[in-house]
Amino acid sequence: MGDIVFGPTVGFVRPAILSRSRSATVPLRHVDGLLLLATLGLSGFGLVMIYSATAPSLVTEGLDPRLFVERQITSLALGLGVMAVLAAVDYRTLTRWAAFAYLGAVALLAATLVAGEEVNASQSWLSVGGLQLQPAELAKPALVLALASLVGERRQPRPGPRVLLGMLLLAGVPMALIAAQPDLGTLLVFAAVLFGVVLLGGVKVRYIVLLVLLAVLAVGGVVRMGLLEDYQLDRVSAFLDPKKAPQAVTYNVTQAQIAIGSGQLAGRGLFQGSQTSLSYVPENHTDFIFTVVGEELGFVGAAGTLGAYALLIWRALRIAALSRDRVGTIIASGVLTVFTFQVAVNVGMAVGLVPVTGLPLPLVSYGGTSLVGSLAMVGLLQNVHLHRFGRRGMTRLSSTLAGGWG
Amino acid sequence: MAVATDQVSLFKEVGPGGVTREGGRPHGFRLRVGLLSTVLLLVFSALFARLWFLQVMAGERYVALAQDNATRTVSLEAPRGRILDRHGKALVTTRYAMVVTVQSNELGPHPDAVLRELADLLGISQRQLRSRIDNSRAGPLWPAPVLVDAPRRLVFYLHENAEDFPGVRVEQRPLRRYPHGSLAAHVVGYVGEINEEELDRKRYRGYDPGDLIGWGGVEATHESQLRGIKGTRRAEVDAQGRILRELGGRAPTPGRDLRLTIDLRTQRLAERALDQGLAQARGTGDSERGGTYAAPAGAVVVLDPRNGELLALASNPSFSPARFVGGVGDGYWKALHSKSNHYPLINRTLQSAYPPGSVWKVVPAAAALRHGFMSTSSTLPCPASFSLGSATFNNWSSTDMGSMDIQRALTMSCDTVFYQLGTRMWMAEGGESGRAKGFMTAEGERFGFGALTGVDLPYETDGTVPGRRWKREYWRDNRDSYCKVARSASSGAYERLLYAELCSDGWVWRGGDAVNMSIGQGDVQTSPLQLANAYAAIANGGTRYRPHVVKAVIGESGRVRKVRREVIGRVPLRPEHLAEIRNGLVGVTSAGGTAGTPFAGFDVPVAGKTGTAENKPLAPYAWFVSYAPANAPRYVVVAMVEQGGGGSLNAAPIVRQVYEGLFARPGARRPG
Repeated sequence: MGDIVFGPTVGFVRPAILSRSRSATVPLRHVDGLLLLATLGLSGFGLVMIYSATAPSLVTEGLDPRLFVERQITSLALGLGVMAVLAAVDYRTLTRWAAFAYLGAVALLAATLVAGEEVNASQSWLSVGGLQLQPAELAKPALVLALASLVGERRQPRPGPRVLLGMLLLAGVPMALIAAQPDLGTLLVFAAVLFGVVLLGGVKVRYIVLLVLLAVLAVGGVVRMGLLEDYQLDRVSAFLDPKKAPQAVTYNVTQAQIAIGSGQLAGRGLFQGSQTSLSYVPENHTDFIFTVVGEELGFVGAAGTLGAYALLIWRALRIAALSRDRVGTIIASGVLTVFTFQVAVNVGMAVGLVPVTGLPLPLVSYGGTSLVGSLAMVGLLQNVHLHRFGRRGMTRLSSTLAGGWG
Repeated sequence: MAVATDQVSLFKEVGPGGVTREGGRPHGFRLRVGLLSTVLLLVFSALFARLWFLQVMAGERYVALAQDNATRTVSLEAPRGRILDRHGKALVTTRYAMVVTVQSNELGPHPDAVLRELADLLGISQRQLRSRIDNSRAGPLWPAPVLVDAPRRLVFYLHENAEDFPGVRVEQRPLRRYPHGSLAAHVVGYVGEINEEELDRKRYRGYDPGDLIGWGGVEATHESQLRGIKGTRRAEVDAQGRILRELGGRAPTPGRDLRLTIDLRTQRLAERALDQGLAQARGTGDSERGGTYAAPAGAVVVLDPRNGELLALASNPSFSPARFVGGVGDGYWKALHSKSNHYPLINRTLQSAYPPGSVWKVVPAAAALRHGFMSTSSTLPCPASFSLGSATFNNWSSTDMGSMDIQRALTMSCDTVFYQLGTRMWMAEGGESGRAKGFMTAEGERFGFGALTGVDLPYETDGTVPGRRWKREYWRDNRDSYCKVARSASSGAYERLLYAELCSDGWVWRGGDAVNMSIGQGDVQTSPLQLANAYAAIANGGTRYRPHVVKAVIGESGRVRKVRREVIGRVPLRPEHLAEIRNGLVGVTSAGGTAGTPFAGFDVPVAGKTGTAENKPLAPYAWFVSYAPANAPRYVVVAMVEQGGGGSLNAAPIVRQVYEGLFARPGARRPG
């Protein structure tokens, strides 16, 4: 069959126009199909898991069992739209708008400190006209874009110390705002993004070593100066010595492991998990959603889910390598780092390998902002993949927006 | 891992348009990607390995934990059997109460907050709440009662806000109810949580921590009958402890009822008579020691001599079994174990032995008649004092009462007659190195002294019937300490001489020992119940029945298992000897007898014996042991008052008051 045009004009353009504009558009076959499959698969799977985690307690409280799932579906629709847009417009064009995205995200983060809502001792929510936002989730793709645009402007083969300093500043501002919420988990995600970008963005080894040393010193300083909240220290010490920890701290972890462990090889069956349906694991539709996977679908389901993430991350790595320029590489590296870090920490926390930090499982956990942000990042990945052949592969829209670039 | 294996092909790949990598790709990019891939590989391997361990290797354990989480087996306590009096009137019954319990291992993620809020609700401090949880012997895996008889409003509140109170439950538990308060407390006993020590005992196999068991009284001795069979209720619960689905279970089986031989009315009569007798003694002047008698404690036994049924057992001071329901308070427990309160938990009718004094005289009288030291017609003088070697033993009266036979010696309680009999028997046995078991010792044992009666109540004492063998054994056990004191005391001191003698010759059964024993002093120790049973044998012609308080056990569907009377021994006495003793005892309550005054004007013939047992430096134990009607005995009544002075003065009136009630005679205050 003829090529189907991917982009905002699809469906409105007659075939004749399509064939004429072929040189200016990216055919849908250039979409990373495996990446798309993993993304849609994980998001759809997430809906089922959210239903399983929330329906029983909603029924108990006399509410609609699909309440959470329907909200998530709305977010998913929005997120897929965002993904499509961010995939279609050439990333080189997007990087020009990066400053706006970045400043917007920083402004929202600052606003949470003033007008945010406190949930679980962390002020990370912003309520705008009945809509609840987690600005930090939107700041992730914004930061990735901003870093890419910073490095992309430079023509020298390797980013020098000045670029590195700029990167540190760019990452530092949102990180400081997130630290003030405080949200340690998200802070670490940003730190990981910075590290991933620096590593694959070609920064010299000696600077990387210097950066790591600084990070170690900073962590040491923070702990020594007592800047961490008690509950954060409790979580770490509970992780290191669970027997001594108060029940309040170990409860989640214990229940999470019981849930996952009791799934055994094949799981207890979809919607059949007692830990899940009887609400033994708190937050099992958000940060602890992996316990639902583990309990109801067993090792097979859990490994399959991890496999889907591995596929996604592999595609991201491949896209980073295939990118036609460093800007694309950096975008892909940033997204790759976010996904890898969040999956590793979230699953690690559920299985008891990592101390408890509140991080969602990307694409699967309940939470609109997180889902839209994750889909936006996948869109950016697709973008780099779609446009890996240089200007020739620009979509019409992006070429229009790009104007006389190059 | 896909990332690692595809790495090589990944970087060889060239874009579909034949576009190769641009310049500007940093040096060592492949190396960096390789490094990152390795890290990713390690991270994912760790997650997979952990999942494999949790789900496949340890999965079964977690399945069990998840099931434990989600199914709760609540054990339903079975109501204990009721305890009824001989006519079926309830002494102890069961009521159901709302009990708030806390199971400390189910308090959820914020146990401190739950306990804080609960303490507020109950109106107690957090520390009090914690001590109630800790006080329960149940342990963290079992619900510990923290409030019995929770008010309805509290019950509703806890039900409606169950999710805020994980591990906190309101249970309907069967509890002991005592419609007559502390009446017959020592007979029925009390109920409390089993402790760890008991749990380990064979007797309590199958009990769980926190289970209630009987302590004291028939609650303890008939535990296996009174205890029912626990029921269970299995339910699926959510994390907030809400019950979602019943999974079945088994209804509890109530325990069996006990019908006692105790007569509620007689019991109340005995307790009231004892209480008033003690009060009277406390108001009576003690001419020897000054002030009034302390009379801190006493006991009354009412026994049916025809079958061993105990109609009443009163021990004073007493306690309230109701105070043990739902866990006894620390303060009350301490009060029950304090010396200044004279240990109210002790059942003085059978758990303590006392010197019997003159009530013992039936024993030497029977021995003297049996072995021919006296006949029914022979007499002995009753002087004011009796000398043996260098020692002088006085009669209770300072005047010579002339010659008398056994019958009159009992009636007048003449000590010197019994001194002579004791000495004669001692000499006939062979003196200091005589036969191991003397006549009086053997007679005492025939009457059941020095041995358990086998009553169906716990911790009975056997008392002491001394003699040559007993003294030798006692000396053997205590020689070392005698000799030690003798060595350490300063030379020439009286103490040294005494202990030196005890050290070398303490085993010798001397004439003085026999003299003391003949009037129930020295080392003779008997419980009020043993005396009641001995006099019952005199009353019924020589049979000792096993005294008992349980008449029948009533099983499910009303099947009754009766407790039959059981002969535990006989006192073979010739009729003329028995008559001699009985006549002597009848004389006691007649005009001129030692208890003539307290029984003046009482028209039912009572046979009895007073006793005033020395217990220097304290006031003597006052005794009165009796049976009535003397011609056809239906009751044996014993009264004992510790530090109560003379038996006729402060014990006999108690017995008379009991008889007045029993025979519904004028002056009897009919208890309600």
